[in-house]
Amino acid sequence: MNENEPKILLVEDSPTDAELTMLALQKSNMANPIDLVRDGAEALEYLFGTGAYAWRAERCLPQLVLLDLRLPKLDGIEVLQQIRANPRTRRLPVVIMTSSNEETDMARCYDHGANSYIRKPVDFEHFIAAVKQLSLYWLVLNETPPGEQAA
Amino acid sequence: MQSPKKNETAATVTNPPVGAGAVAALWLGNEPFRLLAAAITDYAIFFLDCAGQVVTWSAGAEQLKGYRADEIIGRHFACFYPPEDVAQGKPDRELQIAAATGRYQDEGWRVRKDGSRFWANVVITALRDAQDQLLGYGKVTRDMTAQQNAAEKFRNLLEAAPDAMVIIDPAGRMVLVNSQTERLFGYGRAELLGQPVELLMPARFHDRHPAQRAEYAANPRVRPMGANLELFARRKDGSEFPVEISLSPLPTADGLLVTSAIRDVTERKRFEQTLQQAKTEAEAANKELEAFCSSVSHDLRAPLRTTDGFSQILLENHSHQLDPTARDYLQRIRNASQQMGRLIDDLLRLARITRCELARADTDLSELARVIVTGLQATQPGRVVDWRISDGLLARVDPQLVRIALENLLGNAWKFTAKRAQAVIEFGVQQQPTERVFYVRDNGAGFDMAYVGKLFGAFQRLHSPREFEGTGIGLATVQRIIHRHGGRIWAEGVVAAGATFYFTL
Repeated sequence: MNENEPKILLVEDSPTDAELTMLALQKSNMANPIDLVRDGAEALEYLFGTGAYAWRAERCLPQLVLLDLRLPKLDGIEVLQQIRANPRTRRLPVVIMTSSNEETDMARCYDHGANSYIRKPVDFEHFIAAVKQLSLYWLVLNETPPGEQAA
Repeated sequence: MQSPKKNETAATVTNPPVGAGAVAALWLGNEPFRLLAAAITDYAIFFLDCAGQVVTWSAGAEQLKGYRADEIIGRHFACFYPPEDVAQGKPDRELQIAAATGRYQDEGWRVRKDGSRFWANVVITALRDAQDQLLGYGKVTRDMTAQQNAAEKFRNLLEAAPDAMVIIDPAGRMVLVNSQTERLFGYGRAELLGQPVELLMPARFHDRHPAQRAEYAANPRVRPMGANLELFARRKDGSEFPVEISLSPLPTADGLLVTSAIRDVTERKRFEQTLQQAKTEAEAANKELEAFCSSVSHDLRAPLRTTDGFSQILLENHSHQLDPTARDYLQRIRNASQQMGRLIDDLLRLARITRCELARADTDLSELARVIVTGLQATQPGRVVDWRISDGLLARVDPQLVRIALENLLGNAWKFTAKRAQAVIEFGVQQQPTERVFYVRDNGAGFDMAYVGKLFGAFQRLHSPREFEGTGIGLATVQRIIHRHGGRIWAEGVVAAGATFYFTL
């Protein structure tokens, strides 16, 4: 795997939220390149290497997807469902990062195979701490599942 | 019925007095008949002359009517009838009918010597000689009181039934209905008896019903009609109403009768419908609330995170461009955002408590309290509080909800004793005659009882944020949890001396 390959795909429609997440990742010294997509449809094109992202068809998958729930076009749950339904991406670690802690949202995410569910805290310092822990865990500690990306 | 005294009376038969006429001669001239009449004690068998006077008597007659032969012979048989029948000339009319047609049969009340009445089956036969000359009458009377009582009991039972009772014969015709049937369907009894039972059903069920009756006759047992089917009945005026019908077989000498108990379920259906509608509305409202909470949870918090996040970035990355006042302002912006974040979370929790299902389980409240206390102590390890938590406080409650309630109550006690050098916080129970009253007591800031009514309202705070932080939703949440358990909550407080919160579950 190329060291410069993006390791995280961030799916986030709000530019400020995206920027805050990027800043938090920088602050947690995770100097991993991050790719950002703005909606659910774009996320799937990126991961499946289709449409505008056809050039990615031969590229490695990221190590982690940070997925928001409220997204234009396809919402987070639908994106998650399609990721799990596709043989190329079914084992891909997906962490839900959202503002909602509604039990129904949480239950649906786990039902559809989310690996983790993080509620973004209002306090930015807590947010930085959360991002630091999750990137450390998923990018360093966790063994990437075998699959297409191991090729 | 009186039991025959067989040994004394079996063979006795009283003969008519000499010269009692032709009918007496008939009695005397027929030895086998006389012996037979003497042996039968279940029936009163005796002869009357043409005028209706008693000519012969028998053991059965004495037993049934209570007269000895010497008391009755020669008397007119009208003395066997109730006075009202006598007044109407019934006895003589019966003789006339018997004389004209040969035989008269009747069922009705008769009177014994002691005045008591019995229900009699009476047959009067005209006795004629070879020249067709009327000699007198033979009379056979049987006591049917027991049978009559049984039949009357059955009718009373039928009348007393809360449902319309309809009994049909094997051909599907109504042979018995009670007054509830008349009331429910608007028909008179005479309009129903002998009619096909289909009269009581809407026309659209008529075709199928004979086959369904046959099916029932083939497998007769007590069961509801058309289980899980919507059944309808039809009144005389053509209107329909929903019913429930239970069927029971009644085997008789005339074939299988079927009893149907028909219950009007209009009111119940209406009630069920109202209930269902209310349920649907409540579910819709709950769904809406859920959607609302979900969107509040997401959309209201997102801008707060932006506000707090960029304030923090300004403070950290651009600190050298800011003077102390600017930094103070930014810190205030952050505090406000975080406070609002907590407020939203508390409100969402309050909403969630209202709509979630109560899941009761045996719960150790003492243990729950200790876990919460450990958590509180961890936030400020330096603080010394004298915790007095009673052991073995068990209750059947929703552990998750009660945990939230205790977190709030113990958290409040912890918060409001922060300025006490020797803080004491107590969690215990008072056993009252009919219930257990749990309490959380502290010796903290307390409150003025004048404001006790405001204590449990959402956003009500009795202390300024400068004194004690909080969102003002905690006790509203506690109250809602207690109410959802069907319990009560109340409080006592003294300013600067402490507060006690009581609750039942």
